[in-house]
Amino acid sequence: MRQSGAESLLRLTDLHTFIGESHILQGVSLDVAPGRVTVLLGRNGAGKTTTLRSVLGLTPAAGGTITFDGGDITRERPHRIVRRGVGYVPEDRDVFGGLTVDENLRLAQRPGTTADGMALVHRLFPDLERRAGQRAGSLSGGQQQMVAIARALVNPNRLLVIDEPSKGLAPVVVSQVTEALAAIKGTTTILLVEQNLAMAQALGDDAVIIDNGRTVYTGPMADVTADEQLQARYLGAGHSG
Amino acid sequence: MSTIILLTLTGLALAAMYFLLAAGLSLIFGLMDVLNFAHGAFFTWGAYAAWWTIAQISGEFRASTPAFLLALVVATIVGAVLAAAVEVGLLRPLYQRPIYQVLITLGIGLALSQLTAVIWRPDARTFPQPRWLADTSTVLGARVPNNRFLLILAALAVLAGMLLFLRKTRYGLIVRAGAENREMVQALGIDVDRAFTLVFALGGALAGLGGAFGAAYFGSIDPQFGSVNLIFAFIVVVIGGLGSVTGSALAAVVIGLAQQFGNYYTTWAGDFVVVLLLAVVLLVRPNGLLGRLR
Amino acid sequence: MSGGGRWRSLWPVAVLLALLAVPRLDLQIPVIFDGPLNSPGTLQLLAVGFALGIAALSYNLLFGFTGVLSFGHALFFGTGVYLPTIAMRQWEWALGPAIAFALLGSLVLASAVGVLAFRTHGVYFAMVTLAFAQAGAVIVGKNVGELTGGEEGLSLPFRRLPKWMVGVVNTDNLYWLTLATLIAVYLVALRLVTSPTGRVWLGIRENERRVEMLGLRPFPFKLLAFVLSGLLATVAGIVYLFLVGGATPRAVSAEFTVTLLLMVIIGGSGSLWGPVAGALLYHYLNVRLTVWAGSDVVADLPALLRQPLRDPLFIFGIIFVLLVLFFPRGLAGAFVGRRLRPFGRSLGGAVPATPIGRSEELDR
Ligand SMILES: Nc1ncnc2c1ncn2[C@@H]1O[C@H](COP(=O)(O)OP(=O)(O)OP(=O)(O)O)[C@@H](O)[C@H]1O
Ligand SMILES: [Mg+2]
Repeated sequence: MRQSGAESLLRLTDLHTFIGESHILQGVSLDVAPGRVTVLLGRNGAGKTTTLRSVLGLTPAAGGTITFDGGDITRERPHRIVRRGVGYVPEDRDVFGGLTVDENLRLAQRPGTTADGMALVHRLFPDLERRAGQRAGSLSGGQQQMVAIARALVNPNRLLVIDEPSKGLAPVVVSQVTEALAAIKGTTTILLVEQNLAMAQALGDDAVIIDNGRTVYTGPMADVTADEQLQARYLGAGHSG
Repeated sequence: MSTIILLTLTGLALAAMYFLLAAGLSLIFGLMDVLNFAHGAFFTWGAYAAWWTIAQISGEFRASTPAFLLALVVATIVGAVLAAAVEVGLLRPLYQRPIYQVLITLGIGLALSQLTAVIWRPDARTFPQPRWLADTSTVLGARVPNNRFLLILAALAVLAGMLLFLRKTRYGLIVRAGAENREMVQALGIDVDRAFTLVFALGGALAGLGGAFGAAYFGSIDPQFGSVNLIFAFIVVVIGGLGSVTGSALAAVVIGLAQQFGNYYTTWAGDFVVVLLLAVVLLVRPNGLLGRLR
Repeated sequence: MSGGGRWRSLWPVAVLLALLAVPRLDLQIPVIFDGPLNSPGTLQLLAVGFALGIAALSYNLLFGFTGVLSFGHALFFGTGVYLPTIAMRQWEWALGPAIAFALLGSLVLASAVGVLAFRTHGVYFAMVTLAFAQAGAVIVGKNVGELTGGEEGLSLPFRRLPKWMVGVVNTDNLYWLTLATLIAVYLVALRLVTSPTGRVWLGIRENERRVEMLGLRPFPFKLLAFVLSGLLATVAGIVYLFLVGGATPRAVSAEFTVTLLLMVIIGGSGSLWGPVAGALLYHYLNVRLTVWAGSDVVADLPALLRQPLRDPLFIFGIIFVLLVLFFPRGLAGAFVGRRLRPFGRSLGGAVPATPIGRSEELDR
């Protein structure tokens, strides 16, 4: 079921994670190949967000290993993991509402990074440049999502971890966000959680499905798109497209 | 008329002292969600450090101007160092357990305050200050001690400094963002622990400075000095809105004035009005004057 | 654990019988107590410990069993100490009405403070309750309305008390009264925490949001916990008043609440009896440390050691810190170990260190 290890930038092996006393992840394994977009699928509550948070060290795993670029990061603290070159776009965007757009981006800019990131962001989201001085809390949901993505793009990251960028957005905005991500596809590696199958299809190369905190499928994204039985079994309600 | 002037200026000076205590508390709470009961001990230590410095330089009963100025510096440093040590040594292991953090700051506050009684004496002692500071100036017929003016000026300077720090520096940015969402700050690759230590030390420095000024304001110090004022500082912080420095400043003025004017009429009215104000603010704006909803 | 079950249930009964018998035991326990067990001094020491135990137990209903951190508990203890004294001394009421007045006053006060303070959460709540308690302390300390006696306090008018409660010779009666009250309060508390309401309290402690998701409004439950624990604290204040014969401002001070918290931490917040044990130990140490500090042994120590030993507050501060760091579950946690659900683990949401799949076995 697994691809050969030499090709993975990020590898999770038999991950177990607790939230409080509940055993949420009970054996998640997946590989993210460099340069590709890996989509993490699964129904609501399957443990997708928890998996990403474990990768980031925000909800540390209690068992199993996480390696990034060959180094073990299972027990590393979040800011160290991020400094290795991981950009994170959380599920609920979590922009700093009291800070301006510009402040949000400057905060994300790690010392020593070049101005290229900021230029890229302004090219992808011209709207944000115009609204640089506006409080992020006063932006629309779509604009906030752009800020959240932009925060991950201002640094030259090697891996982007993105959690449901389409969540709660209007269809027009979803396609805008999809376009922006498509524009950077190929330039960096992406681990994407997405319930919107159309978006997952448009962006994904590889797919991993988890169910009840366990990996249940690994394969090409195209196969998932084609296999309606698979979708019915593991993705079920909540998926559109 | 002169009574009103006197009460206003004294109330503002009291407000200034509360502000020095509350600003740090508010920042610490805003960023770290820690209700820091040890803050009163930093205040007490600031007062004792100032007193000790003066006693070393110009004797226990007189203070020269240089001795007093040096005392302010020493008090600030002592407050900062104590606070940083407490944060790194004792609070850090408990970040996952907020209630225990509160409890441990209580224990630290108790032990640290009482340590002054152990080292020096448990009873109150007078705080010497330079003659020009204890002298009065006449403002519109009111004879106001000069240390009131100094205290107000110091608080204004601190307020301006803090606003600049928060608005213009990267650390200020981190503190403001961290107050909103600590985890997300970490997820941007920022070492939040360093920011915690910094904020704690900053709060401790302000408390230490406040302690030295408070000693000059009241003219005497004792081991319980900090914990008495801490309660009012808590009220200031809640009324102002946790995490808001401007809110603290505003609330400190309200509380300081209410207390002075109230206590002028009867010995207890001032303290009582303060709690009443708190109740009203909570009913109308549960998150304080300038607090955001959390 | 099969044979241990019976012993476990017999233990409390044995301890209880022993405690009940103490006033009739003419036993010397050297070093631990100065006089024989049935001497008024020893009985008083124990009885005050029981009264504080009731207060600590009441506090823990709120802190340990509902997860609410209040810094205003002294207000309700103080109500039990001050209202009867004021009613009897200033207004010349009889004992019965004075007690009823205190309980009613406490009920009203706790409801009012609770309704206001529960508009806030968590640490905010702690500060707000602290502020209200401070208002009480101001009223008492500054002698508002010439009722409270100010810093001096107010002594109980003994002629208004029944004879069997008055005087050193009747210390044994007061001892039994206090012990009986402790037992009664304990049983009430036990009933409460095992009731459906008690389970909601535990739910709130574990995760208030989840209780809301189950369709329950936490507010009435929290208010009930607050009012009941306040009422029981008032009961503690009343028996304490009988023991010490008067009201002093310390009973309403923030320091007193901190003391209660310390007792709970010493004893352990996870059980009902833990805080009682913590209170007894605290009171005992507080009294004895002061005695020891004046003894020759301490006087001969070098100043570096002598000074701290003379200061019980300093020592308690250090004990507090050490307990929180190393024994967060207190005495009860140390004795009963895993059987109790610790307070800290649930609130923190930290990852348990148990290896996966083994946690079940370990608990059994
Ligand atoms: N704070 C928490 N306490 C207890 N359980 C939690 C907590 N947060 C999440 N869970 C549980 O963990 C499981 C996995 O949640 P997670 O958020 O990882 O799922 P997800 O796959 O991202 O779902 P969604 O599609 O809804 O975003 C869920 O069953 C959820 O109920
Ligand atoms: Mg999710």
